[in-house]
Amino acid sequence: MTARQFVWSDPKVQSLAEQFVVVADDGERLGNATDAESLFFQKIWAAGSKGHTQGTYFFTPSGVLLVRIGDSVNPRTTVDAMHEALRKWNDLSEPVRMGKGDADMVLREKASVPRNQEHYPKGGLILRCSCRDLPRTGRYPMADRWNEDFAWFRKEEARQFLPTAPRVGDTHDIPSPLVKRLARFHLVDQVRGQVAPFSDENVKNARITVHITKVRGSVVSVELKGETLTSAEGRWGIDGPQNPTWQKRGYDAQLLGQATYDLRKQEFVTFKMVAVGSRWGGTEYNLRSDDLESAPMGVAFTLAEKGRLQRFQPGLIWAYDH
Amino acid sequence: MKVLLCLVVAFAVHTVPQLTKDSFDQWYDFIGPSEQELAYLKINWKISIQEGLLEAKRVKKPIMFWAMNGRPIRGCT
Repeated sequence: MTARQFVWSDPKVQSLAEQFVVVADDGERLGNATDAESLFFQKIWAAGSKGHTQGTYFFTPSGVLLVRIGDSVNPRTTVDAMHEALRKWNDLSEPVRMGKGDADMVLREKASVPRNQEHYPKGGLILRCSCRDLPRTGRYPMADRWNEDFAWFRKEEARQFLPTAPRVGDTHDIPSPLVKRLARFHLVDQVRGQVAPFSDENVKNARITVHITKVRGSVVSVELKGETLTSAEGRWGIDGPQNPTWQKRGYDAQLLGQATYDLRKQEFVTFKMVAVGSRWGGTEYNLRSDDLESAPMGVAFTLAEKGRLQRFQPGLIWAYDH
Repeated sequence: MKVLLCLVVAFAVHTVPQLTKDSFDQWYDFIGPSEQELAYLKINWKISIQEGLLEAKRVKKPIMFWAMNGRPIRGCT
């Protein structure tokens, strides 16, 4: 997320980007899979350098590598590479730039639904989850970091957030498996980077109660209140998978929220929820090895907007319980 | 607002702030991304090489491909 913040938000990068078709995808998958798209990428990767796949590649639609730079958070490096790529592009003839070849095999295999959106729960509840460290005294590392993810609930699961026949004054506990989904996969510490899920056994408490505050026609207004506590112990690395040692991690959170649900359309119209609490420990890739002590962290949930960039699957969907 | 909240809680070392109906909106705004933090979405991202190739052949432009483990554009990397 650092590159998003420092490179891809840079005005010079954004201005020059208009001269390119800009793509982002999972370098690890493309470096290992055997579909036509991955094999196409692997040829470009091999032409550029050795080592890991992460970085920025500039290439022609025919598959000729122009420039490759490594993983960088310096916008100047990217701007220089963009200029170099454009110079090389301008030196190439049209047939070399656009010629047929491996790229056409990729296009023939083109999927109707993007790979990372294929299980999108149409008509369901899609929450955008943002997480960030909460203020502490003094200076602390990476205080400006934030991250985001999406939480998915199928349409029939979203309906279970409310009672069958809601009336003002009613209270209703959201079914435990749905609250546990939030606790295990979305109330996690990914402020600085990729995190592992909590197991079902790691969930010591997970409760969200809905209070019906208003019913106007088919639209029901609710307040949400709850708490979660997740706690894990075991052996794992905190600076990558090497050197596993005994570790603890967890998150103890209070939650508040407000939402409106349309019974006729069977969908949430608004949804805002905040978790505020104390996190501790680290995992292999979430860059907390220098920040293991208990410290405040927040997670905000909001209804995802419409659009294809809002349809990315949850980062930990592979561990979802359905 | 984020600066103000920092000052308000600055007296409490690693203390978890209160989440109440009164403070709800402040924390919701604080935790969520700012406009500046979402500025990278101004780029017209394609989300796969397949999509990028299709568009690049149509508009005859070179491709700039950001490869990052996980999901580079949205979510954790």
